[in-house]
Amino acid sequence: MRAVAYGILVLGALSMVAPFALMLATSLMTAEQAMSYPPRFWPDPVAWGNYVQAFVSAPLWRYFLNSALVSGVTVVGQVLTGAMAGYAFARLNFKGRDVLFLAVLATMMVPPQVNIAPLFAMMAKFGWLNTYLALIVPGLFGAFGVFLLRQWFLTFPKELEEAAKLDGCTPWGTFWRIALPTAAPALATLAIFAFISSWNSFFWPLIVTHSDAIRTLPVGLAAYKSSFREITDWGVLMAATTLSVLPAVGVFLLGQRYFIRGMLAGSVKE
Amino acid sequence: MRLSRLPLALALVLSLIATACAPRSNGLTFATWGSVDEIALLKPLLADFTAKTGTPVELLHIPESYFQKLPILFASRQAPDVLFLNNMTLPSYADSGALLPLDARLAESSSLAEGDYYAQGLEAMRWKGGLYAVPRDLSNLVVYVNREMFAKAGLPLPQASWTMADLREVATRLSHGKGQERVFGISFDKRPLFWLPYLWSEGGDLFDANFSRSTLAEPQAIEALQFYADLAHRHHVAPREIDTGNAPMAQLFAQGKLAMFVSGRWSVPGFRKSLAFDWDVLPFPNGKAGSIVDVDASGWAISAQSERPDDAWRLIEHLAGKEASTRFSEGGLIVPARRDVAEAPGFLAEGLAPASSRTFLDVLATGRPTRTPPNWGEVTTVLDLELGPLFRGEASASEVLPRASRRIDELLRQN
Amino acid sequence: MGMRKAIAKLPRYDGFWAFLLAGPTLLGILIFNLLPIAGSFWLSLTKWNLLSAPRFVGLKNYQDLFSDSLFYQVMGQTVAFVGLVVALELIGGVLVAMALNSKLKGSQWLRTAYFLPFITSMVAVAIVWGWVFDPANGALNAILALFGAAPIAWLSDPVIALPALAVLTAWKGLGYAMMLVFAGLQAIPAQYDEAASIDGANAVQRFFKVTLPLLSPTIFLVAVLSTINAFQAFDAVYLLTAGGPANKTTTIVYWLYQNAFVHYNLGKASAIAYVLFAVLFALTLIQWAVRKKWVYAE
Repeated sequence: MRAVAYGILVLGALSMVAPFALMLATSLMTAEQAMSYPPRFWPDPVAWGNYVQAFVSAPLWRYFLNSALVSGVTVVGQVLTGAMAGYAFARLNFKGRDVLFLAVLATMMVPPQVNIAPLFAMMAKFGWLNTYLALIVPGLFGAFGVFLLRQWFLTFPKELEEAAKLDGCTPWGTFWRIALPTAAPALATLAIFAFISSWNSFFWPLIVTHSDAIRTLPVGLAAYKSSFREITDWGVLMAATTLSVLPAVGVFLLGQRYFIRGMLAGSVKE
Repeated sequence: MRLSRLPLALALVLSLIATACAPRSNGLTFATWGSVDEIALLKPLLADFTAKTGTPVELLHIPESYFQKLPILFASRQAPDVLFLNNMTLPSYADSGALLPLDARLAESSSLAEGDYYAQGLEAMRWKGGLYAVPRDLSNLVVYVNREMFAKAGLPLPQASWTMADLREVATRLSHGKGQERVFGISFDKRPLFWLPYLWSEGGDLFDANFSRSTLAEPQAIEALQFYADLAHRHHVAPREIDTGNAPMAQLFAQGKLAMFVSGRWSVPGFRKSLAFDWDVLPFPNGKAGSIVDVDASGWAISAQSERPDDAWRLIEHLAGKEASTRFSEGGLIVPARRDVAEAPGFLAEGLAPASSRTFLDVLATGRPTRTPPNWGEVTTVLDLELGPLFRGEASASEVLPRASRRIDELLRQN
Repeated sequence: MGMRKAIAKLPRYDGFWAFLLAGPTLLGILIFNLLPIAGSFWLSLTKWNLLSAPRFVGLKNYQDLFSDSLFYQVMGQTVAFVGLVVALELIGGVLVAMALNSKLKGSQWLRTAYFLPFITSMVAVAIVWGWVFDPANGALNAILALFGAAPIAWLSDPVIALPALAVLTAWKGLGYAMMLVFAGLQAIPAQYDEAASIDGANAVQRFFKVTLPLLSPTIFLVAVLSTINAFQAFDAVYLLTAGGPANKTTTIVYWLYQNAFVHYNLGKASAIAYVLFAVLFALTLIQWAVRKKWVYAE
């Protein structure tokens, strides 16, 4: 029985990793090697130059910069606004609180494609198309973050709050100086989730950008792939793809625990 | 307090202000597509205009995906004052009220008159009776022929009265060889532009008079398109994809692998430079309804969003005038929409091939504009999809056309 | 210290502080979420091609949709696609989760491997699988060649292309499904399985008679979540097949994209979006209802 279990696990893990291994191997092959027949799975000689070529054939550095900027600002925005709103919904008492929270939750039930046409129209109207504003601003406020942080702050001990009040802290002060620091795990979860989600986002950036100067990595990669007319240089394309994957993988490895927690949020009783 | 959010908030507010109060340029914006050569012709003309009137013109050159990018400008309220359009895209713009009607302006103009232009060109720039653009050039199809190949086969050049049967016969006599040495009689292209003449000349059409339904499944249409597909797949006088791959027809003609090539005026400059044999042009052969090719046109329109319509009109008067038109026609790329320029020696170019340049003007009499509904883009997608099997020789016209007709009906109902 | 005392003297309206803390998010969600949801519905009642203001046409877009043969083709294809993706994710997810549950040595590392596809962008995944599916030089056809089989045009064959995309989508989502099932498995007390084992049931019997029934709420949950996700598939279609050949891989979101941003038919696209919304809304409601029941069923 254990052998079967091991077998399944290893086989499955291999099939998960194999395409990436292929990606890596191909990224180190020259075009001739990649297209050779019978196909080879091992580069020889190793074409490190592909990684340099990737930056030459496409404005890869620009795509990286744009993605970093957009994802960075988005994460900061989502974490801050999510924490602030989550705390308010969890610990403050105000008129219409529950209705408003329901409204926020309701937006999570709506598929993003419903919003796309009007949001696009809004961006056109504001003149934000093909600017960082269209890439960043709509994504700054996320219901998921509010939901997550509210869950967390619901468990915030009331005694600490009372003590802070006695000390003369305003609710903002309590939030900023006492509640927020203790919410580090939840914040980490949200940050990692928001980063990976933003870094990999494709549909929205695709339709609001149309020049290389503003494109984010996924859109730039897609544009690069379709720029090959007759023959695709798979080696360089794989190099570019490998590079694009690294940041998300890095962030994930750093905070695997938090990421998994985020995945299970709302599906499992904490 | 919200110190960490202050910069962001500030940036947001500033950008909102900036976009709301963007300084309006004090000139006109002018959008066009075109090759590098065409833009080189355009720039001095624009400079002349600015010198003459003092109105600066910002040129918005969009070489790729012009009709994908233009609507976004309109939606952002940044539509160019003057825009270049063709007769196939004009309906969707005019129908949406995005263009200003120009009838009154043309009638009152002191430098332009309706009579200056070929009626077909003006007709192509109309939608539901109103004129929305002034034409620059007319585009129609003729048959380019390799005279030397005719001579070698002992064939006289066909007359203007030649029929479809003559076409097939001549193409058969001119086709020969095998493999790499294979020579074909007539070109083959699956794009609607190139098979519409076959359809029209047999009396068929894509739509009825007011775009209420498709007439693609009618007997004349089926007969016409089957004849066309048969040229490649039954009589083998036109190349199939497996014969020549993706090689462009123009290239095959230049290499002497194609005896006759259906194309427009735009092929002339390249052919003048590179063809190594004696060539000329003939009018399209006659079907039951005559010899009917397209007369399409490109021209300039004024957007309804323009804040300077009078200046925009003045720019059009300048671009559509005799001098500008003459400059555009130099090099042989276009058939000018102005009669005086088309009939002038500059265009007819005695001494330069093709000797029968007049043909381009003669076919205007029998040609017709490609009439399109506002969702022409979607219709072409359906045509490409449904007629694909016919042009690949996998199905007959009577099999694919009824379905295509039904799909197009659905699209027309959505207008 | 003086500042603190002064603030302490401020009247305590929670409302004011709530406005400060929750205000930005609420404003943002109002403008970029709620408003567009309403705007989208309004747009679906208009005809708009960006060139001028939208023109009200009532329910015409929906009528056109329901009389468009392509609509039914797209819906059918999407449902088939989703069905295949969910089936693969569930079966794979349960298998691997069960294996993980046996607390084997080193399973932590293996677990990381399963997340690799999930955290990479769909664009990267599609590009890599495009290479795997390549008819001339791809890994799959190379393996086929080893066995002497003829190469298959994975992504240009009208019958195989959609399942091929489904396989790569399921491959990407397996980690997520597996994780959820695993969490569900962990929540099942071990005594049920032990009791059945003592009663003489073998592994297979234990799985089908004990584990699976107890796991069924989780499986249902994963199925619904997977379904909702698979319905929104777009990136792979855009990158690898552009909806072809002959519209055979056009899923509903790709079709929405074509209508909105290629043909600039935004009214029709919004109608399509609302149809999708209706389908997913129903599914989400089911998921919420089941989750509530499951969380309190302990």
